[in-house]
Amino acid sequence: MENNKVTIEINGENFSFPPGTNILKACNESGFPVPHFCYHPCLPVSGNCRMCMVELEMNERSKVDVACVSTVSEGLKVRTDTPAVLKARRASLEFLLLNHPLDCPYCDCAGECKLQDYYEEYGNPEYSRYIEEKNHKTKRQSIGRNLRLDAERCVLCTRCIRFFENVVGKKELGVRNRGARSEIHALAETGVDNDYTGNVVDTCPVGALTDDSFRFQRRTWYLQSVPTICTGCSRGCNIELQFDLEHDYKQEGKRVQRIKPRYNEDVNGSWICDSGRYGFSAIDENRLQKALLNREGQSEQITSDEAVNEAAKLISRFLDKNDNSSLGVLASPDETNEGLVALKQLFKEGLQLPNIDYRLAGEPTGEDDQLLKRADLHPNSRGCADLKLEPKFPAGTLAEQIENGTVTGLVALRHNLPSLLDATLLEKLKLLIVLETHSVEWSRQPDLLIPLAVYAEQAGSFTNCDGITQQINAAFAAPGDAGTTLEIMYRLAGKLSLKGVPADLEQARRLMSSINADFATITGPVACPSDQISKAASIRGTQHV
Amino acid sequence: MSDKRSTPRNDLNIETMEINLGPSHPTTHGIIQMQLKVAGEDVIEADTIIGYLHRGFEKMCEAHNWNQAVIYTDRLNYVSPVINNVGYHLAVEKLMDIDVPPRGQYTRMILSELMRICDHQTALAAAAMELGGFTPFLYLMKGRELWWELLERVVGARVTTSFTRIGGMVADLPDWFADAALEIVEETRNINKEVHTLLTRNRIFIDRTRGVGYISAEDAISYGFTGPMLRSVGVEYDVRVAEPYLAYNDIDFEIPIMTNGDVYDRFYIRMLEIDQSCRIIEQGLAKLPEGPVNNLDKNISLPSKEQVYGSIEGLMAHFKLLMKDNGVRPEAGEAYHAIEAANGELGFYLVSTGDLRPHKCRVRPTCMPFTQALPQMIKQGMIADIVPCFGSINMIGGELDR
Repeated sequence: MENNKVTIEINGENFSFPPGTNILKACNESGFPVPHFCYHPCLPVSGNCRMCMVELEMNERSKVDVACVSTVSEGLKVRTDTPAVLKARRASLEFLLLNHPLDCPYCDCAGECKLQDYYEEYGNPEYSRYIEEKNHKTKRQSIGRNLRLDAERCVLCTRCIRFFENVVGKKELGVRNRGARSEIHALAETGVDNDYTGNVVDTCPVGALTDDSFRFQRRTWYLQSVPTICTGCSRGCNIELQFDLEHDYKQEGKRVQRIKPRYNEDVNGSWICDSGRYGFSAIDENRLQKALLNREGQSEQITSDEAVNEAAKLISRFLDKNDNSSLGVLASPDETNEGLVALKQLFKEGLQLPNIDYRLAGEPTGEDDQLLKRADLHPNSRGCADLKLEPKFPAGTLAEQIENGTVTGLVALRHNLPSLLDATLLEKLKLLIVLETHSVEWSRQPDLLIPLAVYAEQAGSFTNCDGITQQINAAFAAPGDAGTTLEIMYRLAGKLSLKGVPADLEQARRLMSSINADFATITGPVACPSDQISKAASIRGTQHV
Repeated sequence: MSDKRSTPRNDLNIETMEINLGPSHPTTHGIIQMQLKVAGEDVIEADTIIGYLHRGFEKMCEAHNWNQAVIYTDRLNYVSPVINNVGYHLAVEKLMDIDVPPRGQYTRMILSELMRICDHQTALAAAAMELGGFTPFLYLMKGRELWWELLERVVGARVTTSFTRIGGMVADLPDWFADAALEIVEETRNINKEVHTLLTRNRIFIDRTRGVGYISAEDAISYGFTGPMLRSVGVEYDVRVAEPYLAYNDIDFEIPIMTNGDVYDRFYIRMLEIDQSCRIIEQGLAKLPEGPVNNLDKNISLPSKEQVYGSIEGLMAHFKLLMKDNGVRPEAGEAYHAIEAANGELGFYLVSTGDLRPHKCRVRPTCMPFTQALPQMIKQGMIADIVPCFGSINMIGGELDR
């Protein structure tokens, strides 16, 4: 046992693993994927689906057995492709399909269903041998929150039960009845109720658990997928943003269809919370599309070029008449690191404004649940701190500064200002330039309102609460004239004749690293070591754990 | 047989004139334009302008999966669509190196011959009518209608058949098919006899077609003629015999040959071929093997509708073949497969990059060489000869222009 590792032979090749490694995981990691329904890399082993049959040979004796319940031991020989193995898998699959209803045409899971994938690969080529009536169970029954259970489709892998019990720590689901009548049911009469319910839909290998919010919205094969980061809180959970731009006629402008968690052991495992999962409607609703200039009380739509011109004019006119410290700049913990560094470069290094902050007193906070959710509801507070966006005055006291008249102009970014600052305070400002993603009600119309892209529409990075800087990716283009902060800051710097503002992501990242060495590594998508990606899923880029 | 073409009668001092025949003219079945330079009734120069029926078939195949492209083949030679279906899928199967069970091969062969009869009957009927023979037209159209009604009962469509799939057919032939087909075979023979009595020794028909539209064997080969057109100049070439496919090896049939290379021979050879096709159908039905009609690989052949609607396995196999990003992916490579269509060698050249769709699908149309040679065949003849000559090449716009 060199380096405290166990050497086993898989399909004739030698591999070493730490003792205690699950054989199924060992096979998957060695490039010999083993089909499975009940096994999940982030859940305890159950060993009930009997799909992961492999041939195990030890001391000249071999037998066909399930891979997921055994661990590696020195000298073990594993074969994943012998006729006996394939026959055993075919038989397991035949049993699982015995009572499976003919639901593919209206099952949300069709296209990402493990039964379909494994049937293609291992199933009986002569279709079904049985003509008996199938077992019938409860169909489309709501079991709490957005969950809908179709017991007939269920293969009783118990992933959902194990998820609630072992990850959330709450017994929510169980199996009732015996044998062919077994079915999943909610233990509480009121149904499942916690903040992580959506995950059981992802872990369900078949279409037994479906999500009411996605039910019958899109066929899965029409979805495109982009790996990015959830912006719901400072955890920075890895997600797949799934959208469909081709079937626009079905829903007015709704691009994002659903959010799925993406595996990253260091951040979120395979899970996300429900608030993150269902919080995507804002991406397509009520977006600010055109720059608005306030000309003597009348707001007037202008082009993005004119908006940058006007911003430069307004800022330089204000600074001609006023002291540098009277123009406050409110950055945002919802902004990407790249946007923030451009903003800092423009206002702090270029225009020498001392009053730059990213916090505002009275912002709503969440609840830290010791699992994934964090109290800080912004994805990039850590990035703001790491970039040293610190004000001269005590942090978070911008409202007081306006109140006592030391700050009379304000450039604000990605803050829902009307809900955070009193109308009277906004009235007191002589200059108000706002860069915002959504249309909101203003008691005092900003002098200039510039539309911004949301996280799904731009590339960049967020630094999560643990200091991990993660890449976000653009799924689609921003609506109307909306642009990124980085781009707007660069153009504004051009108008104000200031040098040193980064023009693109690469320059911005070089600057970030020079401010703080922690920004040198930006992590992208992490491959799940035990996921088995089906051919179709790999084309779409979705994970298939 | 002598060439009836004459030199223009310069002694009459007739001025030459340029006229268009087509593109929309009753005798240009399909759409084709002939630019003619005439001196009186004599054609001095001729040129054919094609492309009026171009739909981009080959390009559209690149946007559809390997099974879906078959619907475009219906619209190639729309008088014998099943032959095109069979040709396309034989090429795909050659590319993928998969077999079709014997029953599937016989079924394809029987339906192809049935379509060949329809095609020949249509060509003859149109030609006879254009020469004033309305009775043969009615007889032949009635005969064709019998076949098309049979086809409609089997396939559900008369023209848009799309009856083949990768690895086999949409469905097996129904139980009653053999009896119904044999009855129509008898009827077809009777009709053929009647047509012989109306045309073969008909003085008017002979005068209008003998020696008209002559082409030599040498020219025909250099133009790339195939099918009845080539066999009417004495060249013995038929893909069914030269490179046998489907079950033609097991069947006893003859290849009619004529030697004169004129319009009369082209029509006469079609009448003889109708008889041969009847023989092939009879033998095929007698020898029709038992067993499945489709290749049984569930990851290649679409499951039968009974399986799709009756078992979860069949339903899933259907989904895995038809969902976006799923389905048949032939290994990267290329294949050319030719079959004997009613008009000659119909070839499909397919290139795969290992994707769900053809990278390239190119058709070798049967009637393109004939249309190219048309100016040569009608030059130095008379305007009135253009119509029987054009009828004899049996140009089908859908296949010519694609």
